[in-house]
Amino acid sequence: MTGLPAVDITPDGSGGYTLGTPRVETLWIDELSRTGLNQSYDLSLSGGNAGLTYFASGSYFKQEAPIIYSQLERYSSRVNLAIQANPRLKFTNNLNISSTQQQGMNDATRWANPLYNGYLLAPVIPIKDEQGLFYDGHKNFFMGGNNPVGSLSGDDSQEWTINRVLNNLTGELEILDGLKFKSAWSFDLLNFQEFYFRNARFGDGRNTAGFGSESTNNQLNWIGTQTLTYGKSFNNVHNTLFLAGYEAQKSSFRNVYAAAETWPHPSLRTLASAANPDAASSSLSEYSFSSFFGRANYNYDGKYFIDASIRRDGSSRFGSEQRYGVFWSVGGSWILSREGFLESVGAINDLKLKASYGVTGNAGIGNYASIGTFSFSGVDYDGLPGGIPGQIGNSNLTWERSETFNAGVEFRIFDRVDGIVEYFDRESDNLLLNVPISRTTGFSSLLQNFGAMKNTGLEITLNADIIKGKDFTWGVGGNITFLRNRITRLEEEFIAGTKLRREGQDYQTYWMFEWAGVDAQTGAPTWYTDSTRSEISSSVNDIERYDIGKSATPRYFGGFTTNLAWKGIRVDAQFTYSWDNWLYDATAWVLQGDGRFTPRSQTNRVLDRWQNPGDETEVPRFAWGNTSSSNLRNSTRYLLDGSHIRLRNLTVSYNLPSSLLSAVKLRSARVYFRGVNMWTWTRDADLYVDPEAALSGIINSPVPNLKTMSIGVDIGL
Amino acid sequence: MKKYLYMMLLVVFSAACSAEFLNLQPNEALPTENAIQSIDDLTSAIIGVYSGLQSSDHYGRYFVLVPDVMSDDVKQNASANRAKEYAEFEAFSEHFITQNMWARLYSTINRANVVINNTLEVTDAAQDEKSQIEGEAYAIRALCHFDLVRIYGQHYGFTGDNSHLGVPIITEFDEDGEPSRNTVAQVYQQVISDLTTAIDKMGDDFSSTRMSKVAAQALLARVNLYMGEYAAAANLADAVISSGEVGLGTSGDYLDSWANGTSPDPIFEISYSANDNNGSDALGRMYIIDGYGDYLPSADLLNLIDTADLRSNLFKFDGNLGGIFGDLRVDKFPSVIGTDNFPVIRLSEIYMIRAEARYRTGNETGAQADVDAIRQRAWPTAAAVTATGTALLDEIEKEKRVELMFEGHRLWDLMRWQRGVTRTDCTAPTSACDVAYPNDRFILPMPQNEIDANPNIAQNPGY
Repeated sequence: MTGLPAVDITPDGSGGYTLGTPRVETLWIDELSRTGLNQSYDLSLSGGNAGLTYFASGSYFKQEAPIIYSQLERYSSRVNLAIQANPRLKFTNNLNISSTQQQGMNDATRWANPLYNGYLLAPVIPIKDEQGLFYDGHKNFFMGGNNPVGSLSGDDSQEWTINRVLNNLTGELEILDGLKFKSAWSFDLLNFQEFYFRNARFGDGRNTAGFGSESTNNQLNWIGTQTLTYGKSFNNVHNTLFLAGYEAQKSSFRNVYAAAETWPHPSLRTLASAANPDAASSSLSEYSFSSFFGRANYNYDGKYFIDASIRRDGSSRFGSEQRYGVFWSVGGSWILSREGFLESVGAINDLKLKASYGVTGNAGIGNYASIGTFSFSGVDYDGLPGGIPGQIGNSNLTWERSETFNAGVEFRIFDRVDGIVEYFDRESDNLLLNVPISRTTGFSSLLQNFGAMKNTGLEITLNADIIKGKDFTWGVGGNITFLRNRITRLEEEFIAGTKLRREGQDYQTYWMFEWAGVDAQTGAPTWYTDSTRSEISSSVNDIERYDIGKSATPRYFGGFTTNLAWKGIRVDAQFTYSWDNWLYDATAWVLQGDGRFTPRSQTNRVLDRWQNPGDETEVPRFAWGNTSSSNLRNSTRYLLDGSHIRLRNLTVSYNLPSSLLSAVKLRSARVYFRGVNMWTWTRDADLYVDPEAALSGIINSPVPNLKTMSIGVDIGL
Repeated sequence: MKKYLYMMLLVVFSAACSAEFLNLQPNEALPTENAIQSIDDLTSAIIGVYSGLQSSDHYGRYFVLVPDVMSDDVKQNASANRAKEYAEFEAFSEHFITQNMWARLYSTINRANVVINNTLEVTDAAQDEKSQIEGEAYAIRALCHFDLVRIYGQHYGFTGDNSHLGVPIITEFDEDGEPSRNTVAQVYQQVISDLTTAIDKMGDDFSSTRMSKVAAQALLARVNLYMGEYAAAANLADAVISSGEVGLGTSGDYLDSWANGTSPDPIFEISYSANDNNGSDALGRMYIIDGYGDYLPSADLLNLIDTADLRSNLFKFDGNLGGIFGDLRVDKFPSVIGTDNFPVIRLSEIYMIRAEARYRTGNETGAQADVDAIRQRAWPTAAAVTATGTALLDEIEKEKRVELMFEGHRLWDLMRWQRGVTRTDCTAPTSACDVAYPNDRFILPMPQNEIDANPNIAQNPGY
């Protein structure tokens, strides 16, 4: 194919051109996919005596992903020891070591994601040229669109090695009867190395004779927790437990990165071989927490329970004057079924009422988010290093606080049905929000404590044993959560991407241009001009975004389960569902761009496009280099109904009968089949994306959740 | 037992250390209040300002590309993509170029304001250096405001008193600021004031990759030309030319200078090195064969260039094109890794500014000489210009168009001459082939994300 275009283009003399028959038809996605295979082996043993108990295990896991080249291999081992040094002193140490080798691809909508690339490359582009080399004749039209099959053949690489040592050490000393001191230390050492290579012939390294980079990340996270507990019972009915403690935590993350160009040979894989060093940098990021806390529990005769707790947390992330937050909670419960007046009621096995109220804090922000900075990272000009305003400071930045009230009832009746009904009301104040500001400041947003939000809802869980026979049992269960989310206070409403943040509205309310379909006569896109929906227009300059009355928050969600057992055979099925949550396909403006990004290809939904006057379709006219803005982002054209029911897990297992096992000297043996995501029903029959998405409802990757089927054997010796 | 108690206390108190434990500072940045404490810090800050100009949303690509694809010098290839809405006058307020360019230029202005508003006290010995750095920042702040008002506002002279909307003038950082748009008259006044301050503050040192006194004078000459202040423009052009800092160079070096990633006569150019990793973000990549190849030279432009003119070699044959797309690619910025410096202003433009200013002030001989200086450098056998009157103006226009092609000047000239865009070699839809003046679509809309965050910003008419 060298020298010949993938398809002949002949000008028709009147400003247009006609296309010949393509020389090849490459189904890129098929070429990039395969059936994956997972293998997992575990071995464990445990034992001990009065002074020492132990548990040790080793495991191996290998996953060949359903995308060529992508795989993961992990070795891990674990040793847990518990030593009773003397009657009052006990030590435990749990050590977990793992090493993971992984190779694969980037996710998300980037050229560097070969799968995304596979959607964008036209089928007229061949995989190999006449010499049998990976084809690169399209590279000037698809700058980043390097032959993804070639890239994943090993000519490019992206490899990770992750080594992790996690150790938890505790010492527990009983100072006096009922008074215990416990010191717990957790060390988590994570070493993460990445090697990245782009080849010199058809890859991103072609202008630099090959490009390779290596980065090493070392993360150390330690937590030390010291607690003193005192427990005592009086008169056999007053039971008390008091706890006081201090916890310190620090995490540091150091990165070293180097890159080099001009590689003498494509199979060399360390920077030492490359002729030209290109980049070298390192960075360090840290955070720390420091907390004092106390807790008291009291119960009367195992019937009435009262708990109270208080803590003072400090975080390095907040402004120097606002680092500390004080949080507390109180709760109580009453086990009615232990009262005399209910003990005689045979139908009621358990009945408990409970309520609690508490305040918690959230510090889920960047490590130096409160500090105004002048940044030197990656800033240079003409060979000199420079500095720029990096971040606006906010010394008032402080903890986000959530006040949560819970009340509920737990029960079991007729020795068959149990359940929990719980009401929750959670009001979060001082919300940590990145609020857009005028770009004339030189910045696009400022992190602020900017408002309050309320989540109220009801959560119901029910399980019933329908048949409880000797050989045959059948149980069903289900849970449902009704959720209502409202922003209760906001300094000023604002727009965050596809969403509107406005008082009185759901936090995930979409703020969009509303799609009014395809003009059947012209194939042009149409939108409603404003929220009155009285007029439509094909011009983006006539339309505005508004609250379209849909949210990414589901109206309700939950799951249900059923299990059947007959002798050694057992079937477990677990379903999940979600209702009235809306998804925004953020990949669609490119993958269904109606020709806006030609010569990039399209998904097969383009086959439904408008072609002739009178065609009724949701896909507008396709035009080479389309500028009709039909692929306008933040438009409900790409908003999809995420309502679905999914068979998350199906497990069929068989326990070999003990008569058989004793003959071969095994304690237990079980064979099983497990299927994950095997079946999904969606309210929108044409839904083409995976209905499970992040809370925000945004779908950023064309890669769906995996459907996996596995078989396994568990043997107990 | 006591032994354990002591151990326990030790553990508790060693962990429960002071507030220092929570006092962590970033390692790749300094707290803002400590940022500028020495002349070296001020040097870092001005380097940061220059690095803003490098961005692909400014001189790296789009600020140059967008006005060119809106003009009659450039036509679209079949694979045209990134700036397509602009080439077809279909821009909209949420388009990424419209939004990002605005944010980028104001970010650079903010960086310049850090330098300008510094409170650093230095020794007498360092006073000149401090003054020089501040002068550079003033000149760049002027350049950014000037660029913003050119692309987001109608040209100077669009209304009699220039009371039509320009862009907000930002001279101080205010995180709560929600400024409204200043008029074009006010923005030009600020630009002139900043350039004048810059000229006062800077010394005589010259380096083409940095702002200099000569560069500020050159920019001021351009601003005066755009305002129709021809005498002032001619005087400033005289000052730049007579400064001797930059020469026109020779015919022999003309093509080499472009091939080597610079230009024949840069007064202020943005430096790009392999370190900047500009690569696929570079302006040249939009044109060259080994790039995206989105945009092609129009026959309207090519027909103005004689085969004996060296500038006809700033194109490269591409047999894969053909038909309506022709067979030539632009090769003025040839680096595949994006290491071509970009000339923000160069001496050729100063000659053309002076030619037009001289013509407008009745000095036709001088205007002819200026055209000849530029034309005969690239085309040594060309006859001297003898045309007078409007025929001379046509020669000035033609020469400026050819010499400064693909450097982002043509659209601004058409607008201030109050002419539309007429493309006879047009690969865009016919609606974009003949676009009359005046036109709402010759400028970009206000970015939607700015309007959303700042209610004081009024949208441009027609958007």
